Amino acid sequence: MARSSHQNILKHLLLQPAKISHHGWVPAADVYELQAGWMIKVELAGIRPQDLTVTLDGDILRVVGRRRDWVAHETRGCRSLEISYERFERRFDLAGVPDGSRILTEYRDGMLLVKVLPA
Amino acid sequence: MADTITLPLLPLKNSVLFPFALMPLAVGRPQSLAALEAASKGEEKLIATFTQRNPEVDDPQLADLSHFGTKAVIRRMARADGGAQALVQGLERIELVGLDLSAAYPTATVRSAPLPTDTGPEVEALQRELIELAAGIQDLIQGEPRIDFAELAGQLDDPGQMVYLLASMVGLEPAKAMALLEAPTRLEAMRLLHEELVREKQVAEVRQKINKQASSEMNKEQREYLLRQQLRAINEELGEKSPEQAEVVQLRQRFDEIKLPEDVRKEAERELKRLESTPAAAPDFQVTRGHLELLLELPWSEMTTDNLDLTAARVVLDEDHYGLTDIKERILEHLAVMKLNPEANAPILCFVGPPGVGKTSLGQSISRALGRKFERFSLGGLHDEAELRGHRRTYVGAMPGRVLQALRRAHVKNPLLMLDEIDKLGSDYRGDPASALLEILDPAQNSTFRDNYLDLPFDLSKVFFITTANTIDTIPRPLLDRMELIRLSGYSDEEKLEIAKRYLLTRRRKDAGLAPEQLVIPDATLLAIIRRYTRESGVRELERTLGRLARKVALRIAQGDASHVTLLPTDLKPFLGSERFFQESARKTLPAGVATGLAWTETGGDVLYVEAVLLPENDHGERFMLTGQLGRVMQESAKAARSYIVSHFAALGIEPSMGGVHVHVPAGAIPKDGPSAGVTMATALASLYSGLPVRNDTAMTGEITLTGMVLPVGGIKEKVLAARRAGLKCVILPRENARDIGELTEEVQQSMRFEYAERIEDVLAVAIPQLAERLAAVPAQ
Repeated sequence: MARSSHQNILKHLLLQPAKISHHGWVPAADVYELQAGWMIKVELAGIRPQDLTVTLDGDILRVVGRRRDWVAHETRGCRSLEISYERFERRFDLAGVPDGSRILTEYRDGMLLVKVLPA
Repeated sequence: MADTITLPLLPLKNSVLFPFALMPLAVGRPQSLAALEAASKGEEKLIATFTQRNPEVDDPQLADLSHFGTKAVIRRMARADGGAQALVQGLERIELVGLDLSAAYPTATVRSAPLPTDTGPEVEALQRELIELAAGIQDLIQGEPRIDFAELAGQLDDPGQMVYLLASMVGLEPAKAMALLEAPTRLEAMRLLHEELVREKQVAEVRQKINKQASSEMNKEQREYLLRQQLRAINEELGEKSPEQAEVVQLRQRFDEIKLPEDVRKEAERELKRLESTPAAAPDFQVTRGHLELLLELPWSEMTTDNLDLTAARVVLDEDHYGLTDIKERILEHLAVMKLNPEANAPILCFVGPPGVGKTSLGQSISRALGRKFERFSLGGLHDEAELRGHRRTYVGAMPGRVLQALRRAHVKNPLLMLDEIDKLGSDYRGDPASALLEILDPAQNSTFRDNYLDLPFDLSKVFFITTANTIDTIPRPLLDRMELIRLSGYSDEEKLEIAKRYLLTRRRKDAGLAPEQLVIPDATLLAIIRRYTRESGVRELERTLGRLARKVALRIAQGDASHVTLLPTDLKPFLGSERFFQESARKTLPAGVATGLAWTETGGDVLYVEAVLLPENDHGERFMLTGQLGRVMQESAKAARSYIVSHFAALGIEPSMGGVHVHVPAGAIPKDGPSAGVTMATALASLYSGLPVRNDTAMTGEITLTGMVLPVGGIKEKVLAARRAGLKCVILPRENARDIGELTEEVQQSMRFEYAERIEDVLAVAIPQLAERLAAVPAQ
């Protein structure tokens, strides 16, 4: 991984998992190496599939989306709010992704799994 | 409208939320709480923030809100009793389209209004400038975490974001923040921000400077303190005292050993204590030490015992100086008084006389006769009062005044202190040294003389002050009043001969390394040197000339050309060149209208001629013309003389003349003034009108009144000596000046004839013998 991204990840580790940046909030993520390719696990609970976009542009994997509440309007009122809503974005700089790599996504138990596999 | 949305409204007091910025909020107003509540129940927790134009208003209407605001998302919220804390983040700029205050919570209809993405060279330049400024400010503030603004700018999707991010970091005043948010173009917003960042940077710079100064001072002091502590520890370990401590201890020992007046000891004790607690590096240390050393070295009580053996004193004075009988007598009188009354204050004398007559050496001689220490300094050109009275210790490089310095050198409180050239004191904006001298030379005040540096009274009353001057005209009156004047006039040729034989030749021969028999100069040769090679009232030039002769003779002897030399008057020319002065010989014949006068100058006496001619009746020039650089007093004196002569034509047996008269006094280049040429003018005019010449061997001096009386004048001794030098035989003096003749040596008195005049007729009778016959014929009025 490129140095700056590595630093960014370190920052994310040291700060909070859902850091707020100018791109909206940032979900926490794990990055795994596969025999060939990568697997990224992003903590993204309560996201409707239609609100989620995953793109690969060269070595950059982008996970963009928004979290929308669906239950609060049924309550009397909110006492405390900690979950980040609205737009989020997370970028991963993956070194040496071959051209024509495929993306496989899976959304399970509030976690988004993204696999980047060579063609 | 299709592109408008309706959101709960949160009016902001005193703050502006920028897009992309995070802001903590404390919400208390029921309306706002309700809006926040509604937003937190929303799907995306969105809320519209608008800043109130007037923070005092509690229920803002449309007009009370800024036109542009920010759509925000609630990131965190916690409710407490009666209020809520929230953290909101701006998302984008919005425009306020409508307001609904009728529902349970206020809502705003807004339209997205992102900052235009106008570009151009100026926008580009400003963008870079802003990044640099922000980086600069960050460097100055040195806060953590550090942000790489250039990288950040690259990561931003929207260049306008940069402006809002920076704006939210700077912390603008609400009015300025509002203006920035409402800026119609990106360029405008950047300009506003740039202005603010520049100011912010200046503030940061000043803050940093202040911080640095404070911390560097602190660091230096701490460092020095630590080093000093270490040094002390090492010294203690070695059983040694630090050098400066040792110095203080030494100073204290010296103070314990000497006798000091009580108040001085008190002051010294106080300063010693202070010195012990002052670090040696402090500037005060050196100042205080210098002052203490002065206290130690000043002669507070040390005195020499005066040698009051009058016979011995007379011997010493005679040894050192030839002649000056009168002055020696005056000095011995003072010694006699000191012998009879030891408590009397030392006298303050002022020697006045031309250069080279031995004023300074006379002072030395007196100190030798008395057995006092001799110190001298020159006041010539001194123009700073502090030179005499010292600088206050607060000044860098402050020193005690010259008087105290001299006493410090003398080591006794009763030296003979010679202040040379008191007539050449200057004065300027730094004060008037003459006024300082008033205190120093006043026996009533100088027992408690206070030098600025010493800052303690010092007793100068036992100091024997002698001042010297060439003239008393430039000495301020009050100063003159404090001193006893002793005039040293010029020497006669005979006196010079004696001085040359006794002192000058011996000294110069010794300087040249010659034995007495190797250079013999007979009296006749010495006189020739005095008369033809030097013309002065003192003997400096004479001594130099003798030195030159001695060196030339030394050259001959060293070359082996001769073993000894005896100089005859005829030998002088090869040694000294042509005669430099011709003996002032009296003019051989005087035409009618010329009379010989005598003048006194600072350097001795001189002979001068008054010339008068009759102008023809048809001449239309001035009736009475006076030339020769005559001063006002002299001109008036000439007019009085003429008026007297003209009004007494009949009595003098003179035919009245209608023509004008021109009177000239050579040499024309030398300014002359004073009344003492009055009788000479009258005599010249009487001679002119009568056509009878004045005797050519007679000179005259005296002031004339309009009624023909002759009044006494000064400088008789110098004038007579000048007349004698010129080869004149007779001098006519005012009767009252007869007593001054006693000043002259016996020899001079013998060689000259003196006539005393009470009236101008007495003068004329002597000066114009033929007129005397006529006067005798005419009965006196």
